[in-house]
Amino acid sequence: MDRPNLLRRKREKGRTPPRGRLNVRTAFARYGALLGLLAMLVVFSALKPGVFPTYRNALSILSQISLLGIIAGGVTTVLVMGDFDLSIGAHATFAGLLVAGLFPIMHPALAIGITLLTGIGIGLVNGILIAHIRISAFVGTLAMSTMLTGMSYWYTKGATLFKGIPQGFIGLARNTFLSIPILVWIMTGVLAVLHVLLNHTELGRRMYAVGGNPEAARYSGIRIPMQRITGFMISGFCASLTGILLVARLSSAQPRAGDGFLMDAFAAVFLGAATAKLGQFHIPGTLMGALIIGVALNGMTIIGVPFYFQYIFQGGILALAVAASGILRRRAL
Amino acid sequence: MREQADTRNTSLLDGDGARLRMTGMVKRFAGTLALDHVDFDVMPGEIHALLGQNGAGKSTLIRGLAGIYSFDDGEIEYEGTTIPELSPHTSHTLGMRFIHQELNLVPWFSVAENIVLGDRYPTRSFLINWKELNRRAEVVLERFGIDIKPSAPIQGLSVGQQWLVAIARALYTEGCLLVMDEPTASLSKREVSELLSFVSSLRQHGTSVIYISHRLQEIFEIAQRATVLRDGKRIVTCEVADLTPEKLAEFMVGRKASEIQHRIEPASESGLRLESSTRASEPAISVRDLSVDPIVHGVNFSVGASEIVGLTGLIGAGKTEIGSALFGLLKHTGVIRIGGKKAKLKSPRQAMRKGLALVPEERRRQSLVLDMSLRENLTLPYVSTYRRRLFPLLSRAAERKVTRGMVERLQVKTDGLETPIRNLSGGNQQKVVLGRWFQRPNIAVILDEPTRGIDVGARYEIFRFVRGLAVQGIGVLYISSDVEEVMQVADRILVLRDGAINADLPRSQTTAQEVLEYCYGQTKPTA
Repeated sequence: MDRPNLLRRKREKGRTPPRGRLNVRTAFARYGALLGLLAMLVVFSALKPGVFPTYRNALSILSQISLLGIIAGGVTTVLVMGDFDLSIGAHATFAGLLVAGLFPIMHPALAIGITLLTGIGIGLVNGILIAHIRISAFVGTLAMSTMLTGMSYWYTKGATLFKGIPQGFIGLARNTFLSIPILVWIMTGVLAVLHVLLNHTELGRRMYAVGGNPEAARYSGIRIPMQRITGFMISGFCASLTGILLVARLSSAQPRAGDGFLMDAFAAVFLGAATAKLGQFHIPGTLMGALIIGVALNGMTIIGVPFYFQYIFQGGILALAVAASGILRRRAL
Repeated sequence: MREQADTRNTSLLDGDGARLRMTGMVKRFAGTLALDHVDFDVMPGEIHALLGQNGAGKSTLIRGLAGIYSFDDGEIEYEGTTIPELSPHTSHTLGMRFIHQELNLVPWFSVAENIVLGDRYPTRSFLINWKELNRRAEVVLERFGIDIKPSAPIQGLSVGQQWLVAIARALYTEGCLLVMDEPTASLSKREVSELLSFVSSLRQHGTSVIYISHRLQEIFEIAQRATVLRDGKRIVTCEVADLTPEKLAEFMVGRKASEIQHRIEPASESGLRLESSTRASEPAISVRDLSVDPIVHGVNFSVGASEIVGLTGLIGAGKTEIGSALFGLLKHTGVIRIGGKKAKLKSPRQAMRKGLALVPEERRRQSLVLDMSLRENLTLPYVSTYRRRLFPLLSRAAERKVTRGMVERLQVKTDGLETPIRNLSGGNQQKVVLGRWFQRPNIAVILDEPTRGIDVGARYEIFRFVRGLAVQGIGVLYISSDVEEVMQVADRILVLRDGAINADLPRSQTTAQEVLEYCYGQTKPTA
């Protein structure tokens, strides 16, 4: 039994590419996103050399994606476990309205604190519905999303809230620290914490185990519902934070303001899963995905692509990203 | 069928007659020779056993035959015609059928629907003609003497019957060369003998079978010839009648079977130190009146510290259920004591806290996270013990240290601790699964079919490891439906029948024959 027959086993069991065609597909899935990013950089720079490839614009792109990065980072923790959170968009909207409504009647820090706690609470409800009552994540969070939208309209009667928003708070979205926008610092901080959480703590390890093989996780003594609920709470926290920061950026809160994050966040996370690591979800990938989307939207705006085309792009990129990460995962099996 | 007079190391050199002939098959994976000029052939109506340890090249050969990947060199002849290249499609058209352990039946379809699935369903004005569908299935079932109703849903059938349906399906679409990979791995003794006699009967219809199994007795029961692969080379092809099980094992392992036997028998004196004997006063596990609805009825037994207790019985007798209940996976009633202390076990987590470990039956489904590395899989159940003292982050260095120690102790063959676990062979994966439960000093461990699908060599290493655990004072409950295996490992054997303990036999005072009799029905009050 001391034959070194490992290498062979590895290839035999593992990912032997069966046909050349599949190889191309795998390569495309793995590097397509990066190639796309490079292509966009080249094309936009060539079309608008004075505007696109500038330091100022780079900062502007980073600032634009900072909210997307936060909300997508939160939903990454949920996707790691094979769950979904479709409520994040409506949740961000709701959190924005809540915080804007609370500002006139209390200290800003308290308003933000209450909103973040509410966000965690919404995540908790999502988690309980899904992990304990065993509603499918898809349906459960879709229901939550609809309820949140309803509550948003009920709360505002459809109006925009802009009274009593403190100037200092709005400054969060306008000011810089060390000549980098504060929002970018916040995103970096949130993503760094999430990355460490997923990769260097027991919680993260267990989350990946639950996503990789729930049955094996259970046999390893992992309390699966706990992990899933925690994921939804993190996602809820990030959605609320995004909604709050969106108020700072827009200096107001409006019904539906955060809804668009849903699509972009999922596109970012799946693009991220497709850029490395065999279709696994991870924070650096998510950041990468957000960056790709940010560059695309920024570039398209600069070269004057009509807004409806941007929707088509967003939908298309989501489908492509999911397909690519799916191909990679299948190749890994 | 032609009578073949050739003996070992000669293949059938006269050209005509063979259904399939592969000559000089070569398959390289990044420079490693997975198949090194292997010759293999099957005659019409022949059952040809393909043997070898994990990694010997069996699956490479079979996958190539299925067209999953192409060979680098070699010639394939099918019924006398040279086949330039095999794809899954051509392989199917030629009549080769591959029945894997997963069977690929649709559980909520009927037998008939499954049998005809590969073909087009008969229709009458666009709607499925159910009568005709059932009739067609019945014809096949009758022809091969399978006594199952075509309208029965697959879900209600036993695993053995499902195998028969899978074979019927292969034959319905005119398969004439069946490749069966470990068909008996999850079958009870009775089902095994039924399946074997059925496979034997296929010969009358001229069907050829390539039969892969780790269970040597089966090969002697049904196969005419056997080919042994080792390290990607064909070691021998010969008539089964000229072989003995010892010979066969020797070909597979490359050394004498008696040597292997020698390695585990004196395990209790194998020089492993006795680390603690303080616990020995209390039994590791003691169970009073354990019931798991509706399978297990009021079972009493105990496993002493340093004792290996074998738990055997037919499929459905309740072996796995007892193990699962102890580990908190199944609702149960009764009193369980771990290391003398009464324990309420409602979840694996609680069971682990009491010092219990379970190596479940299905490695890939229940034990491994295939996307994770060897290290991550090893530390998974006790990952919280690798937390740093000051900051709540994991210490990879500590994880690596323990993992390295375990890899060395269990002789896991791997090219690194960070290798994805999926790249390891079954035996090595199983060693990692075993190792994961011994990062902590546990009181007792439950092993459910720990050698399933594992080759002879790795098997003995696992036996030895288990013996080593007992020597260290850990109580072992060893669940296996393989009586021979239990006889080899256990100090005491509990025979389970219909959810109750039918016999409690010290190994030294019993025989495999006796154990089997208790499995099948003879009753005797528990000792």
